[in-house]
Amino acid sequence: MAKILIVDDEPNIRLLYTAVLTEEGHEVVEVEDGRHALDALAREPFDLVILDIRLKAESGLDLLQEIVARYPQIPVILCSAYVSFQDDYTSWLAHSYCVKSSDPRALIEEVERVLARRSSSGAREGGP
Amino acid sequence: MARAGDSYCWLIADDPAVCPYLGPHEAHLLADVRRRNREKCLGCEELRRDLADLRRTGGPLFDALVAILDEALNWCRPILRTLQVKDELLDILRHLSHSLQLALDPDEILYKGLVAFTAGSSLGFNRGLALLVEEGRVRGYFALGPRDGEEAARIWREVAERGATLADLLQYSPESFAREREKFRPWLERFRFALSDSPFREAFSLPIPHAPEAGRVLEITAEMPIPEALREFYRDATFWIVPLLSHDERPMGALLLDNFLTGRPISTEDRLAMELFAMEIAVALERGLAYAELREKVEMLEDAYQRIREHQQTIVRLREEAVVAEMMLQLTHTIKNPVVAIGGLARHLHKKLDEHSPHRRFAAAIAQEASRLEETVQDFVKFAATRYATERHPVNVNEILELLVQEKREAMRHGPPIAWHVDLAPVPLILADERQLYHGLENIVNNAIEAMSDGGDLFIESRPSEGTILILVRDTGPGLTEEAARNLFKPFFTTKPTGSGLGLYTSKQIVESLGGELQVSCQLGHGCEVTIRLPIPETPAEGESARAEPRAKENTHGEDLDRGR
Repeated sequence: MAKILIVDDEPNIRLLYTAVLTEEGHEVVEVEDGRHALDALAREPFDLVILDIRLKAESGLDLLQEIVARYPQIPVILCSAYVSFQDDYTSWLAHSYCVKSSDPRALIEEVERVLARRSSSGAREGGP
Repeated sequence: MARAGDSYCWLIADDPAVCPYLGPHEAHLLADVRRRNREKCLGCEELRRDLADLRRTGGPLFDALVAILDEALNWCRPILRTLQVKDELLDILRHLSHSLQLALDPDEILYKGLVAFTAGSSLGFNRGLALLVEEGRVRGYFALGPRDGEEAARIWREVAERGATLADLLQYSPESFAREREKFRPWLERFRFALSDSPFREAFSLPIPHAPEAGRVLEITAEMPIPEALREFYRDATFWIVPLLSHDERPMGALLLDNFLTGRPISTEDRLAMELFAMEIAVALERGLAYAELREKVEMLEDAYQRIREHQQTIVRLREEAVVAEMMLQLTHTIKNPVVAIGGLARHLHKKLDEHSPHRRFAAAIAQEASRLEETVQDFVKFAATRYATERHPVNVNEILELLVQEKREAMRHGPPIAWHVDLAPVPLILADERQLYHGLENIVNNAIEAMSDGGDLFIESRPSEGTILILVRDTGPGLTEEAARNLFKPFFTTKPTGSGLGLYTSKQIVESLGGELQVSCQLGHGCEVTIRLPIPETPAEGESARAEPRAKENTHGEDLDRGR
């Protein structure tokens, strides 16, 4: 059980991820842009951020830099519709990648993996 | 027939019956008795007999007269013979000259040249051999004539039986050329000499003779030092070398002539004739060789033009493809998000619905259709990625340079001597398409190598400098003129006969596509230097530059990168 922040400008993708991850027993907060994301991160502690690389008015990568700089302890899974986003060196800042799919299993596995790695590294407690 | 009536035949005019030696076109000699005496009676047996009679009856005066006449005759004979020879030589020269007028093929020129030297009785050498100068070496090229006495007898008999005229003999065909050449092939292949080898050194430096009768001909006798292959070929027969020189006295080849069967020596007249023949052949040969070179150049240009066309088409295609690729990515992105949402939510719904709900089937159907659509989009993206997009990965410029240097050094092993000075300081990684960057750098290194066709020093350096990766490629070739340097980056500009003119242009495009810049500075006589600056990617935070180093890729999410592909 972890607290996860979802950042995506597509409301239905947020709806999907929230449904899937809540189902898995996680607590989910969803926001549509960078400003709301930083607000949320400032307001409460998160165990994980799932970030879309392509946000409407801004680059997901700019936000990624910002999050990594401010909250280096929070892992980020970077999501995109296609794989080539990994070619952008800024994306290497992310801890993990996920290609969007209607099959949620890949995302669930990725979340579990990142959280497990994080708790085993002992940097911080896995969640509430 | 000495006496005709009361007179002698050599005194009677206008009687066709008096002299049996008159030809069909010599009727004028019937009336012109004086001239007939000069041209026909001198040496005639009838006259001799009449003179003998007169001597018996005429006393010492006639004795003296006969002696004077004999002397005059002896004096005239060689002059007549010389005139005859010169007449024939002129005839051959006229035929040769005429025949070579339109000849452009060096084979044809040398064939006809040797025919002229060996035909007839004037020069009539037994055998002729043609050597050509190629890339600073003298090489056996063609030979004409018999290999031995038996063959000579057969050939000369055939020529005589056919009644072949000089014009017939000068008829050229590639088949007869090939046949003669084949006969001597084993010898011709052995004839490989340096220009400085004796006797060619001497033959090619024969001065224009001061005495007009000397001729530019070198006589080689048995005791003179000559290469072994020539000694075996000529045994101990004397032979003569006539150099074939261009208009500016450059050695183009040589003709070697001999009388290995008849052993006939050559006269001063022969030498002059040989020089004259050789000049005629040399003029034609120089023209023929220049024509061949010109034709080769034209073919090279046509080839280069063809490749330029192809490059042009490639550029247009690449440009179109880049636009298409961008459109496809946009399109897939806008399609994929809704499809993922539709499919994902339908799956979720399917899971949540009661097992007996009639709507469960509908949710499953929606999820299934969405999956199909998703797969199609995914395939489309993959296709677009392999077909159109360049793939950028973190690359180490030094690794590319090292690979390039290794490849080029290997390729240049047998080329001109080039000293490689490679100095690569550690540089950060950049994002680039490895093959594209290799190609861009290769063009530049190739240019440098090609600029030093006589060898030289090639400097290749890389180092971080002012927030960029600095790459230098410097050669010690001849450099470029100001005008050529100005044109360097215009597409299709080239100083090389085989270049497409796209090399540097392409390199510049590639460097600029990476946000970098490429500059060239040239100094005539001191070579060229290409400077490339590639931007080092801005590091996300101060002190985070380590992420651009290779281990950044090997950290926790390295495996995810692999999986994602």
